[in-house]
Amino acid sequence: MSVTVKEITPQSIIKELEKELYVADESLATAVYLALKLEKPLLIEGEPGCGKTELAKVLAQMLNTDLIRLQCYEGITAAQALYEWDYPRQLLHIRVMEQSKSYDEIESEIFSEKFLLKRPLLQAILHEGPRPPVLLIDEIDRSDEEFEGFLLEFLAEFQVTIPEVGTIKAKKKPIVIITSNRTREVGDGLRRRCLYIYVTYPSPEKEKRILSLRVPELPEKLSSEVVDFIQRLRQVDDLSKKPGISETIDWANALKALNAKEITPGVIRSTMSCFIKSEDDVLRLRELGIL
Amino acid sequence: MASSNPSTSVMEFVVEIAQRLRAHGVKCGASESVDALTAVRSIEIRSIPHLREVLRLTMVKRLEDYPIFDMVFEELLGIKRRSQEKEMEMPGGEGGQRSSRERLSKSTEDKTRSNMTFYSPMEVLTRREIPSPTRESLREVKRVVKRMKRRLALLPGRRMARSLSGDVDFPLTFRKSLETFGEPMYILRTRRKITRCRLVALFDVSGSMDTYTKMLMQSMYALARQGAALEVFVFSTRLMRVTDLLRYFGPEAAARKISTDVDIWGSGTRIGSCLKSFLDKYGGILTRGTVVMIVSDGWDTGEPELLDKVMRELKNRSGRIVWINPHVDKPGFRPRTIGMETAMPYIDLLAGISALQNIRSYRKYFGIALEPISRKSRR
Repeated sequence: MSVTVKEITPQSIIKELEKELYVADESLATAVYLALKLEKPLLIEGEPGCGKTELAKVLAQMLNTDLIRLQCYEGITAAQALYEWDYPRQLLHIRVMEQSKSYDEIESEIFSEKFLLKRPLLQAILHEGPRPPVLLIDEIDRSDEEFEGFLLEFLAEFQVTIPEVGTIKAKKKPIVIITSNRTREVGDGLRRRCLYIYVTYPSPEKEKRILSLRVPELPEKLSSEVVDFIQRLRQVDDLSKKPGISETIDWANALKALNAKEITPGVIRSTMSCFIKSEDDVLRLRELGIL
Repeated sequence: MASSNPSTSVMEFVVEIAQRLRAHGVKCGASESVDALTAVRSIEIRSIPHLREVLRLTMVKRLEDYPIFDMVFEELLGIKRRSQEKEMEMPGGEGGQRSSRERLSKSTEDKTRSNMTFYSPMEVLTRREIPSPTRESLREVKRVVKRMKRRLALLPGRRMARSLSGDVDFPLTFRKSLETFGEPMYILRTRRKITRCRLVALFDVSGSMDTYTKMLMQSMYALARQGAALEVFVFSTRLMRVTDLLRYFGPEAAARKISTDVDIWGSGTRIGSCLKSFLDKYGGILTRGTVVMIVSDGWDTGEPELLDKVMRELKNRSGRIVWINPHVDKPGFRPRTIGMETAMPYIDLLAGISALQNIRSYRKYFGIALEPISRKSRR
């Protein structure tokens, strides 16, 4: 671990993250601290737009290291996460070399690093830097169970075996942040290897603090109106997509850009695209008289 | 923490928590305990809430287990809950064991009443007497379940597998061509794998369905024991997940627990709002390959509009909806209850309860009665 990690305490994490415009409460800071100390992946679950992904980004900035991001999606395979050979280039190379070189020469050449397409996980392993990188495995719940199984092995050993090259082991264990939106239950195996924290929507105070950091130009009165309104929206039961912190920030930015002085029904109607993302929700909120 | 040496007392404390978590069905292994200890030692613990946070971070790995952890933690530290006991002895000692367990069971019960997503295994644990199924019946169940799983697994998934027909897989083809000195002699193809199906069963346990509850539990237990991809919920005025309860403590205890807890279930069924809370809380488990089985007579005291809305959503998000109504078996049945009428347009199959009566009929029920799920038949 780098020097900076050694000096860290949960309190300093809160302060440092705040410098990167990220407001963390104590439990999140403790989670990050323990993840760094115990060198374990941190599994963060929670509602969309609560700053799960953002945490990894600011953590990388805070530790002054690189962020390597693996965005999971349905059908992602090991090849897309780890490495792939650049087949077209290899093929081309073979055709060119065929006349002049022997089979062995060609083989050793086409299976060299030049033809290796490094995907995020391999990048994290190969990372050359004074400090270990932050590896963000985003939205793990979107990937398939098989891929999750593959990750288990990777997270346990932090090594990658490429048949043609050999086994590569990470010089420094990457700091791993895994996020999940709970669209699918993440398996027990993965959970057991991680520290776990569930993040939820922030309290009004915390959300105001976030706005004051992220949108500092917004007048305080307006910002607390924004927060109150958004907090009220989150209380509405059957919204298909409740506004997250990112929506609050978007909206605040929009209000700032429009130079709004206060929140009136007219202002809400013209800017609601910032925080309402479905037609059903618009209808529902109209029914309730909120819009 | 009566011990004078602080480090052993912390260790004992962590071990005790881990054991109690396990007793409540939380998966908490030795590695979690080790992590917890390391964490406690590498961080400056300033307060009890802080200690709770640190232990929870390391020992609990899912949101659903948070309340169990909180309860265990509070019990161990003797933090007073709504239960009325006065004794506050510290755990760990030989004598303290039993009374703290009793205490645990009482307060668990309290919690069950106040929080629906939570169940109490402790209470059942103390007077559990479930006859274990005979080996023969288990074998039969295993066979049926296996077959059922195969029957249900019919949707093409996202993952790819080698196949003779299908799209050409260039990476595979190229790799193969290396054997033939770079000449692609074999064209390899892949196609989508068939995905495994899940079964989600939602049981109406209101008064009108009381007689069926136990039998339903039995049939689901048989499936759950086989590790089928199965989730079981019961509902009446509210919804409760009972998969684990069933899996660990068996159908008798589960049915007893569910039918005796009158104040949980009350009277009047609100199918719509229960299905809605299912979608909100557990909607993530639904895929297009999921078979949703709703067992209810359709007596609904809630609003039909809500039921209509959630049934539509359920239909959109799952592969197939099977509604089991005990009255279907009676001659001259017509789906006349308001709940049934509302739900009918979204149901793929309406069947009587005889379909579930014994495990053998599952084969008939899921094997023949159901057409293979295909995208075509969904429309």
